[in-house]
Order: sequence, then structure tokens, then C-alpha cells
Amino acid sequence: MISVKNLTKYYGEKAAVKDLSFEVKEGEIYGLLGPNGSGKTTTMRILSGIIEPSSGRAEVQGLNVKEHPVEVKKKVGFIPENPKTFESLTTIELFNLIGSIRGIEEKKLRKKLNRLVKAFELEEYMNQYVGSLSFGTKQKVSIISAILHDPEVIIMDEAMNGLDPKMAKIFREILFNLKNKGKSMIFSTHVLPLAEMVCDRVGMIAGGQLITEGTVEDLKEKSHEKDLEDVFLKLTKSETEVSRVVNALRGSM
Amino acid sequence: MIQKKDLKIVMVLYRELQYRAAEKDPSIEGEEELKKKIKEASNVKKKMLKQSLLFLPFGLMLSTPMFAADEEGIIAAVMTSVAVVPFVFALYNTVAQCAQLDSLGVFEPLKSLPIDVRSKQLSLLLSIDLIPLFSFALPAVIYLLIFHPLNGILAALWVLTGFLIGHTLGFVVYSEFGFKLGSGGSSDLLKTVLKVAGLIAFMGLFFAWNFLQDVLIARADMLLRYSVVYPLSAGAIFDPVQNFITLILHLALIIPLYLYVVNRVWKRLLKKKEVSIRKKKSQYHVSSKSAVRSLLMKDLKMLFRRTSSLVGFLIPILIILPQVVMSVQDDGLTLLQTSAFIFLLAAFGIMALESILSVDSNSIDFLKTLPLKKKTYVESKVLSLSIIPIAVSLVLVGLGTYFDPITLITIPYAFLLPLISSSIVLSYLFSYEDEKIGIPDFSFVNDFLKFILLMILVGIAFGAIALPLFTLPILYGVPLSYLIACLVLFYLYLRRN
Repeated sequence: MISVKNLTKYYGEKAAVKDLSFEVKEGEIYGLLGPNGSGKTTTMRILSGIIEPSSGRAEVQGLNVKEHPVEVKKKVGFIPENPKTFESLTTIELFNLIGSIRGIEEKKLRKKLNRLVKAFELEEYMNQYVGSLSFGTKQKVSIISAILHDPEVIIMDEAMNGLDPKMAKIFREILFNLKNKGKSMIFSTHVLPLAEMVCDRVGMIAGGQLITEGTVEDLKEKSHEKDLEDVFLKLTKSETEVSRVVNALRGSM
Repeated sequence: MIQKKDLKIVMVLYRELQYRAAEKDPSIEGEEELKKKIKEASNVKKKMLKQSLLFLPFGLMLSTPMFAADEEGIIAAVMTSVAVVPFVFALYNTVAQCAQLDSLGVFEPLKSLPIDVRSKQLSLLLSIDLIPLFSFALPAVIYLLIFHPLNGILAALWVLTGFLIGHTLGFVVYSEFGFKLGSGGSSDLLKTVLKVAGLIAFMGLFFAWNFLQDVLIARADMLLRYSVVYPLSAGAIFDPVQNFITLILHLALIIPLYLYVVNRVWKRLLKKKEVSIRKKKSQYHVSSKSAVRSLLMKDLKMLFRRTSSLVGFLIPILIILPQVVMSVQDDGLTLLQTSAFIFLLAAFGIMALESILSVDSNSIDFLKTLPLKKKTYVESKVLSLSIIPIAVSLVLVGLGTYFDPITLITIPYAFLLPLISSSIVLSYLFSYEDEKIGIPDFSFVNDFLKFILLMILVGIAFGAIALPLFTLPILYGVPLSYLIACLVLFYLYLRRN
């Protein structure tokens, strides 16, 4: 369970997140959608215990992220947008390191790894340096790194980036499986049809503030639009801007 | 020719380098402090001036014997030792900076732009940190220019040549022994072993020179006048004609080598990493250890795989080696000599700090996602920093025991002293109140005063530990010394908790 109340984060004088409030229930996949620079990544990094909020309250499984960042990290699995990890470790060395830091028992770690490595078809890459892996393979490593410890909460920032359709489908199935086990998840993506497919509810943010939230169907109905992309453009007031730019480009290209 | 555009690119790259280092520094609180730090660090002229002024007193200390000397032989000997400093710093700094540039990917954004980025910008970028080091030699050079103008000009030229030699050899170390990402596996392990052996042999060459210098200065003053190899040649300035020819010969060798190797380094920095192709399924070994032990193993693996970082990591060995060799050659090692070497090794062990910290520079964001306490992280770094001094100290104890069996009682020093010096240094750098982990922005060249302060702190602790050893009979002195060492270590441990 995730609870965010009046969350604000300033970088200097600029507010990246402003008075943001939402909740994610157990067994729910919550889509955090918004244009570039809307504060999605900042919100997710706060919820993962990586950065502190300037004010407001964020709780993960009842733990305040500001007061208990290490405890929060034990319960959270975070998949960053651009995974940067130890490139001169081999894939298995990286997983062993994560297992050790997270205190996963060796037997449990072996069992879990064997299953995930097989599911993501990583067997061939286990003894290769992470730095030598392709972007998509690194993304698979990043996903496994985040779910290896069976977290209560999974936070995903563009987690499907670089995955081929087959892997994306497998990952979606894993997410649904985790959802059925009662895990709370935040899923951020710019691919709105994907959000439609995966998320139970979505929250749209712009300028660090929540502009609307609800199920995909609710939002479509409320804004009288056929799909989530149109809802998004309408609510983020990007519709007119998009038409203007498209027309200008038609004239100039 | 260096154009205005080149300087502009270098300034952008330098600023970027400062930004990437500062944003990982956990002691920097908030955007404002970060901006201030970047602004300060990016004012290259001010920074170079500040660094130059900082090094000047140390240059004066190095050159003092020259001011009181009335014999050419003594002036020449001092000049030789002064000339070693820019050479060593240029070599170390070049290797360390190249490794950092590579891992931070500072050149990445420029690759796709239609800008003619070439190797000369790389040297210019590195020279920002290297030029202030000239202050170490400045007092000696100015003294010579005033009282022996012709010889002074030669001395200045030798110092500059020393920079170039150190800088070029730093490039050689980086390009020939630096980390090139393979795909992993046993063949890479073999390559790593060979690279490490090659690196030690290469660094050994420098100490062979150093050793030669000591022998020649001590035993054959006349030979010094006709020295043909740097840094001894920098002391042969009182034979101007021959010395000038030697200088030209040095430049004739080093300039083509520089031009060749700078392009190799540049290509290496720009090279796209190999992407592994799917291989046969392979067995993999799953293991889960304590977090501290895993982080220590991670550091060691990364340092040994990135052999360019090894220069910094192995620096305690390189500092102590010539003195140990000389002592062994003279009369073997005594109990007090072995103890003194262990103290020295532990104190200079902190020179590996930059390598130990920078190993995580690219992955600190990843570590921040893990439930890692600052205490655990610092403890792993204390062990990483201590491991080489501990290992070498144990070898020294073994060697000392061979000459004098009672030396075996120094074994506890081999463990306690490196752990104490590492704990002092890391407790200081991670003394910010926050619990978050990060990489303190620290480099020996740019934070020289901080380094001196750390050495003083270590010196105070070691002084307290050494006092009973050197003042009381062994029977009482040694146990009392160990007791003090244990108390210091315990105090440092409590401070971390």
C-alpha cells in the first residue's frame, strides 16, 4: 500500500512536485502518467527512498519514506528509466551482490534467480559483464534486480523500455501475477495503450500536480474521449499545441 | 594549434566533469549548494591560481636545502628530487583522470555533434589540474633563475619535460593497461592477471630509476653531472651543453610517443563498447554473503578489472617498495624498521582513497535503490582501503621475521594500523549527518589541504600508538601500543555506529 499526501519537492526554487496526493491499494497497478518534466520520476524516486521530499508525507506499507528510507527500500523494488549499474561485474555477480545487500538467503536466491533468469532468457548472459549487454538485456537485468527480493511494492519508471514484444508480454504476465499476490505497483509510461492494458487506475500529473485520477474507463467517460491518448492530450492541455505544431511542421517539411 | 573553440569545448567538458562529480557528493545539500560548488569549481583561472598558491609552500619546503647550499652537487641533488614530484603527480593524475573521464562518459554528448573533438582537447582538459603542480618546482626554479640563470632555464625546461614524461607515461598506462570491456569469462581473467603483472613491472621501472638516483646521489656525485635519464638528468644542469643535448634527446623520444599514445587514448575513450552476443548457456554460481563482504569483493573485482584504477589502488606498495628494498639490501629488516614500514604503509595507504571511491562513480544511483545503510557502505570502504596495506604489511612481517624472529610480534600492527588510518579518513569524509550514501568529491590534487589534514589526523593517532613502542622496552611498549591501537579502532567503530 502506498499513500502520498500533499507531497512537494523543490529543486532550488523550482517545484518538481507540488502538493501531490494519491493512494495505491494492495493488489493494484497504478499508472502515473504525465508529460516530460511533470514530476513522475521525482515522485517515484521519493517513494523508493532515494530522495527526500521537501514537505508532505509519503508512506510505503505504513513506513514514512523520509524517516525510514532503508526500511522502505527493503519493501520496494524500483526499476529506473535509465538503469546504470556496475558495468564491470558479470550479471550473476551483480545479482549475488543485490542478494547479499538485501539479505536474501542463498537457497531462496538460487530458486528465485533460476526462475527469473529462465523467464527472461538470460542464461547465456549470466557470466558476461553487464557493461557488454545490449540495452534491452540490461533492462531485463534491471527488472530482475528489482523483483529478486519479492518486494511488497514495485515502482516502475518506463520499465518496458527496450523490451521486445515477447519479453514485454512475459513481463506483463509477471506483473499480473504479482498483482494477484497483492503487490502494490506504480507504473509510469509514455506508451498510453500500454498503460490502458496494464493499469487498474491512472493518475495524470502535469507541473508536479495531480490533474485527474480514476480508472481508464472513468477518465474516458468523463472527458468524452475514445482512448487514453486523447484523454491525456485533452487533460494536459496539449491538444491545441499538438495541432499547431503538426500544422507548422506540415508547412515547413 | 589551439584555437578559441578548443578552449571553449574544454571549458564545457571541465564544467561537466565538475558537475558529475559534485552531484554524487552526499555532503552537498540541495540545488543551491550544488550550483555554488559547480560555479566555484568551474572558474578555471581562479581554481588554478588557488591550487598553485596552495602547492607553493610545499614547493618551498622541498627546495629549502637548495637555498642554503653553496655546492653545485647539493643544488643538483635537490633539483633532481624536486623534478620527481611533477613527474609522479602528472603520471598519477593522468591515469586517474582518464579512468574517471571514461567511467563518467563526459565525452558522450559530443560524439553525435559535428564538432572536431580531438586528442589535444583531452590534454588541455587534463592540464587544468596538472599546471598548478608546477608550484612544487617553482621555488627551486626561481632560485636557480636568479642565481644561476642559464641553469635555471634548463631546470624550468626539465620540470616541463618531467610533466610531459609523466603525462605521456600516464597515457601509456591507461591505454595499454586500462580496462577494456570484454565479454567476461576465464580469458578475461587471464588478461587481467597479465595486465596487473605488466602494470607492476611498468611501475617498477620508475622505482628502478628512483633507486638508481638514490645510489648515485649517495655514492657518485660526479656521475650526477652526466646523467642522461630523467629525473637524474634534471640535476645535471651545471653541465649546460651536454644537459641541453640530453633534454633535446628526451623531447625527441617523448614527443612522438606522446603524439602516438594520446591518439590511442582518445580512440579508446571514444570507442563504442562491444555488445555481447548470445552464447551457449553457462553454469553460474549463486551465493549470498554479508553485505560488507559482498561490497568489498565488488570493489576488488572492479579495481582489478579496471587495471587503470590499479595505479591508485597499488600506490601504497609503490611508495614503500624502494625503501624496503634498500633496507633489505643493507642489513635486513629489524623489528623497529618493520614496524616503521607498517606505520608508513598504513599512513600512505590512504593515497588509494580516490580509486576506492571512484569505483562506484557510475553506479551510485543504483546503490541508492538498495537498502544499504551508510555505516555498512563506509565499513566496506574501510576494508577496501585497508586490504592492500594489510596484505603488504603481512609480507613485511614475514620478511622481517626471516631476519629477526621477534618481528613476528608486529602481526597485529599489520591489521590494526591500516584499519585505523582507513577508518579515520572515511569517517571524516562521510561525517555528514544525513544517512544517505554517495561519493564524497575528493581528489588529492584538488583537495590537497584536506589530504594534509587527513594525514595529520592519521599522524596524531599513529604517534600515540607508536610512542610506547619507540620509548619503552619491547616487553611493555608493544602490548601498550596494541592496547592504544585497539582503543583507537574501537573509538572509530563506535563513531560510525
